[in-house]
Amino acid sequence: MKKRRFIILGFILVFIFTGTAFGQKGKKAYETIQWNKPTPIGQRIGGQTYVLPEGWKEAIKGVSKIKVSNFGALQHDPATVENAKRFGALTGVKVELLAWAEPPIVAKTVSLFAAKSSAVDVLCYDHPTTYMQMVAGGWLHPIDAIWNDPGVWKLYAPPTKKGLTAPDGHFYGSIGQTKTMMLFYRPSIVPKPPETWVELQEIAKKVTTDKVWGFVYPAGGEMDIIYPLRDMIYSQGGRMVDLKKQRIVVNSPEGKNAWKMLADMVLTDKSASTAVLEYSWMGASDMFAMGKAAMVMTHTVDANRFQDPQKAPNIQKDWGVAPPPKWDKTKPDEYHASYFDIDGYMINKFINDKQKAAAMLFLDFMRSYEASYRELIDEGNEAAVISVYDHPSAKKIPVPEARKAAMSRAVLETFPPAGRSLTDLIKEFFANVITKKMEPMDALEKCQKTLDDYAVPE
Amino acid sequence: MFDRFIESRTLVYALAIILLSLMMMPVYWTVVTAFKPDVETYVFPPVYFPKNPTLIPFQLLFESYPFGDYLRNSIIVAGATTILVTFTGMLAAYGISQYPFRGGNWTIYFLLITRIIPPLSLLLPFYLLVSWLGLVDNLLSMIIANIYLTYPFAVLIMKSFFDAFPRELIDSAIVDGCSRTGALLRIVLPVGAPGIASAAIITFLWTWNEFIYAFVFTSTSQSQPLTVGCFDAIGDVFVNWNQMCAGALIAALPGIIFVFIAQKYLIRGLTAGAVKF
Amino acid sequence: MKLSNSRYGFLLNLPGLLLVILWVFLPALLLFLASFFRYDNIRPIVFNGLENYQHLFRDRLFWIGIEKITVFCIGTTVLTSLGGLVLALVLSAIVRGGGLFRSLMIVPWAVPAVVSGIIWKWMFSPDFGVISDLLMKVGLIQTPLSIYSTPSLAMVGVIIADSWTRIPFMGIILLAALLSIPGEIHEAARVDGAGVVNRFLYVTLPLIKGPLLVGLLITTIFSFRTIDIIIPLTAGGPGRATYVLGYYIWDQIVKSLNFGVAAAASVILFFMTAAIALIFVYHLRK
Repeated sequence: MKKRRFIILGFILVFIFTGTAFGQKGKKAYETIQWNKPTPIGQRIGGQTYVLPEGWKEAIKGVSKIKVSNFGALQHDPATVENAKRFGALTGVKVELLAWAEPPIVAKTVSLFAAKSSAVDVLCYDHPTTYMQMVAGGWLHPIDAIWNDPGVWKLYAPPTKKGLTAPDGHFYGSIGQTKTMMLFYRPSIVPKPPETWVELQEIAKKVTTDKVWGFVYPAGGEMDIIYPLRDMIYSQGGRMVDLKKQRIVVNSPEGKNAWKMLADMVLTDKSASTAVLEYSWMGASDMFAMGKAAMVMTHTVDANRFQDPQKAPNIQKDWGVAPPPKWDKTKPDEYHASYFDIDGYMINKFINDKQKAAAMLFLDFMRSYEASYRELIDEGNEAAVISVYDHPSAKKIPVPEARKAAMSRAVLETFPPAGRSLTDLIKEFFANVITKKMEPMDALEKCQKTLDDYAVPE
Repeated sequence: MFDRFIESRTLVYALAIILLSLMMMPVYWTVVTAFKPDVETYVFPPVYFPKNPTLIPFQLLFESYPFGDYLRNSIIVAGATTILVTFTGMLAAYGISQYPFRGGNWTIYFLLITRIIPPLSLLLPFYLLVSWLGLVDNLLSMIIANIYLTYPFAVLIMKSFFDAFPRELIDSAIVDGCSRTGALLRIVLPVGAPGIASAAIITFLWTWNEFIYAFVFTSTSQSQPLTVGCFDAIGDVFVNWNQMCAGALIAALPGIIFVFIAQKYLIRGLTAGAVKF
Repeated sequence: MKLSNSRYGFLLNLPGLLLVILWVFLPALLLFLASFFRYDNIRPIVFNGLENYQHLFRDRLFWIGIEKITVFCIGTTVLTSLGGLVLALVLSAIVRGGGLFRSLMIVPWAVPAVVSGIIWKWMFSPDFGVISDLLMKVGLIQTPLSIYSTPSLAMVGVIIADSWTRIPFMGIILLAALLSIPGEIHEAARVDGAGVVNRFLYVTLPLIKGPLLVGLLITTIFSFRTIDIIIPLTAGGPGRATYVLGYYIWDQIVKSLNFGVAAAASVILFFMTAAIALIFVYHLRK
């Protein structure tokens, strides 16, 4: 009798043990990483040296390489290359950066997903314009786990959390590189940089000669006109995206002011060349580098080019950086704002679980203090982690306080899913204004109407 | 008077020189820019002859972009396509030309029709097929696409050459005990080599110069050919025009070389394929 | 096993035919089918009948595409024909050194079209372009010109660039045709007292009518469907100044990723091309 009971008990115990063992096996590789150990995420990645989370080694055992797409040629992103190397040294996983040319990058990314390909593990993406589209496609691996600490959000600028949250409440993207725009000017032509756009317009008109344009901006490449338009709207406290209706709004009062000023600069003030229709956002800063423009709004990373006597021979020792202008004197100082650009990373859901674990570690690392430090100090991009600006080395870069302030005030908006087709329309109508095919304000209204027509009905 | 003037030898040569110089202007400009340092590139009025010619644009081109990879890919795709198309096309042209069969005319119409279908129209379905087969970013997909693009014309070119081939030569060889295929290899090939060469050269150039399929099918330098590489480079962050022209020169090189050494074949090939319409 | 002659011929053609069937007619079928599905890479793929076509006919960009391709096609064909004809006439009179001249004439054809687009973009640059400079030196314009600020100039620009790549082909065809005219015919006409211009109009032209039509056909069809030049040069702009139908399709595939609409537009492009070809062939047969 007793023997039989022992045997039954034995069987039950065996079942329980095997059950738990299977249960353990049921956990996916990336779920075994404990992101909040040894310290909560905010502290773990926020210190000067990055600390790997517990459980990482087991989770990625066997992974030798991850492939990560990159915006453009690698020579322009030395910090990314350095960070990738460091990640490789820390984890033993080699990061192969794929230099993808910018114009077709969205199409390439989407076609990769549409083909359910596992060829690339981590995809770079432009957050403001493509996040919604990528999320809507359902191709991304959710990464809530690496953001699972209220303390982590304190590391970054205020708009980050809302910006990274997808409509379904989950997180699918993480920070790679951040940028915002600053005002560059030539002290020899413009002794005191303007503090407002209204002032800037006046100065541009005055200083334009047949050799130098007062102010140049881009309107030629895919979505380039959005940059100046958006910044001017933010400088008035306005916004471009109506979140409720999921559409882009350009004919708001702020939009009208911005549109008119941009058109006037070319058509009436003649302080900007009609060739703005050819410039991409780099083309405009090219003009500045060649000494053909007195002022330009561009990313601070361009300072590297302006410093180089080979690349910008005509403006050596004759260029300065100022915060983005606010619209006019009546606006509060918070409106010294440009857009908050996140070049983010997202994870392909079609790769296997161990690759996903490695990819999540990569994303975890790339948004850390250490990685941001390299972005700021080694490359001249902005630092995603704001406290990096307080580091002693930060004193050596141009205007660190202004940049820290600009980053803290930058505005992050995410465009609706058809983002890039819509910005295409804005580009088209603005071109019609510059080529005098349409009256400026008339074009703006028609543009808004077309944008509304294109909104995808759900 | 007017007539004699028009017909004078000197005028004709002068006109030829002027007109062709105009036509060659873009090529000249590309070559010249490719050897200019940055300071001489970004000036207006432009510099027509570099004062300090340099090879640096080429060096920087290969450093900044994976141009070596692009070159390799172009060579592989164009080479493989040319070999495959010329070989199969030669057999097909031989067959159609010398051994008519029922439906032979239909085959020709078939091939002609495929020349009417715009490649751009078939880009989408081809792309769908390629991505379903998992062949995106793969040289094989481009070779396949280029075979479709060039095969019909190659056959038409070679057929028109073979049509002019003296049938008696083949017949007498066969009477002498040679097989039909043997006749092809031993008699037609050597004598019809110009026609085959024309088709091969044209196929090579068309494949080397192809852009839209290559662009859509590839995503990394692993399989991107020169055409896509050049285009990607102008979309890049800062366009270095002297480097771009260096790249353009490299991409245009096979075309230019073939034009000068095989001009006769090219002309015969193009007119043969076209006139047969 | 000795095959009959005709079977042998057929066999030699079999691989090629299979190739063509597989890689032309299969995709064509797929294209046709796809045009009846909603395939926009955002929502699930469902059959939607003629909706894609209806979308096209309602889409102002589609009609802009048709308008622009018509202008572009006519412009390119005219410019190419004139250029090719002039070159062919001149070169047909040259015997010594003919080879060199002919080679030079062919060069633009041999350059990859997309690379030509890049080269012309550089030449048309508003700030550093050599075209502006030359026109200024000749006195035709006072300030550098920008094809990006005037829509009609943009169209002219792409027409010039595209024609540049097509003139060689037209030139070759016409040259071959001209050279095949026996010299006695010219002699006879001259003896009859016909002047150069008359000789050209009433003797030469009719004799090269066939090849001329073929050249026109091919040039028209090719300029109708190739966008290799437009993509790098103007990207369809400024505004939509050079937004030809082919570019509409390209955008749908590469930018909007709306494959259903792209398929429908591709089908229409094919039918339009076929119609053009039929018109020409009809005239040829006459």
